Amino acid sequence: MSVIDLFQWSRKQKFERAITPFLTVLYQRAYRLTLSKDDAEDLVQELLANTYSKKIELDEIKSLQTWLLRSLYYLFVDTWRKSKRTPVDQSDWLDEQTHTDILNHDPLEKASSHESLDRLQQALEELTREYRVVIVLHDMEGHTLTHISREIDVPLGTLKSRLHRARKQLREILTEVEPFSEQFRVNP
Amino acid sequence: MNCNDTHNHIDAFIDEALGEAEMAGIQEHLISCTACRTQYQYASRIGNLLRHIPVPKPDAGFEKRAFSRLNTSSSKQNWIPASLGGAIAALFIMWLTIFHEPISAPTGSIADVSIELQENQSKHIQLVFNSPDHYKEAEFIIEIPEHLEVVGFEGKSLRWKTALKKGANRLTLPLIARGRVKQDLIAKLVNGKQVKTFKIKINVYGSSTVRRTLYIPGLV
Repeated sequence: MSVIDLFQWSRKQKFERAITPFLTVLYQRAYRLTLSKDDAEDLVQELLANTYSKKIELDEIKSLQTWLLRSLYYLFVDTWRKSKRTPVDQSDWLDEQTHTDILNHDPLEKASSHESLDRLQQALEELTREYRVVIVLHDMEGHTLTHISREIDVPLGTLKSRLHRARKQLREILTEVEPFSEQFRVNP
Repeated sequence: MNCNDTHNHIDAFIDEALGEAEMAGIQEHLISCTACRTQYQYASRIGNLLRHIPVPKPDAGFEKRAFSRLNTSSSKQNWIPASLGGAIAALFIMWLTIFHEPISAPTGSIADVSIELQENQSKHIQLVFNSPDHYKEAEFIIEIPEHLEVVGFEGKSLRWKTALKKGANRLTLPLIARGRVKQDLIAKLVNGKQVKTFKIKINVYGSSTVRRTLYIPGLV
């Protein structure tokens, strides 16, 4: 191994050591944004490749997790192009233990919760990425708007109205997808 | 509260983000209004589904694959470590330009030059060697003094063989001082038995303004 190789190896090792603790949280966020295992991996890979190529000094970043999540947000919203490698894998939604938790959570949803998740996924994919982000961070991950505002550097007022519009649009899409769906029909 | 009020505040009601009086007002309206109650239950159910969407584990080997696209290729000038080049535009740069005599000139030490660094703040230093000819295999040695680091490299000495092209050959070093640097940064260029030594004095400051350009023409 030449000195140059050693230098590159050393830098790569240092980069990987700094990033590895945050891989899980990056993947989880990426999955919720993309709703696909392949696309989530693709998004994380692109984020890390971009970060590495820019030679950013990770040591000097105060909160690396927040910084990485914010970078992931900008990448997802601004430049990332959805992978064409594979269609969305519906089985991602069905083969996990957590899915059983959903089935057990609300007896009313047992009968067709696979369908409801599938339908919800389709509706989420129709949202603009800005809308999807606020739904993911607030409604799926449970962060407060104040936290989200800090994390992605968007004013609180903007986020509030964005969340309101995103939810409204999501409900409308779901109604359009299946206007007579029993899943979303709630008897008085 | 009427239907319009309830409709406008249904999300805030679900998030419990309203004042006590407004929460009570909407709750009271929901008891008496079937249409609004249906809307509320519909929105709540979607929220419940969203909170419980599972995230499947990534396939085995994800950690390794996550780093698979890191670029480790060489930069344009093959004698510059790739990890040092290319980030010039992204970060603050301090230029140190050195023209040296032909490498075949008598071996000797080069007069001191100095650069200024702020403590714990990385800076890019660029050395430009103006070679009068092409050399197939020169050896380059960087000796890093105590309290000085080349960012991304943990050792104290860098040494590699490289080709020098005729004209400007650039070496970019991202440096960071961790304290007062007493010894000089040494850069040596070796061609056979001949050696050119460049001594670079490092002045470290706490918070003072850093000079942006240091241009030393014709340094011998």
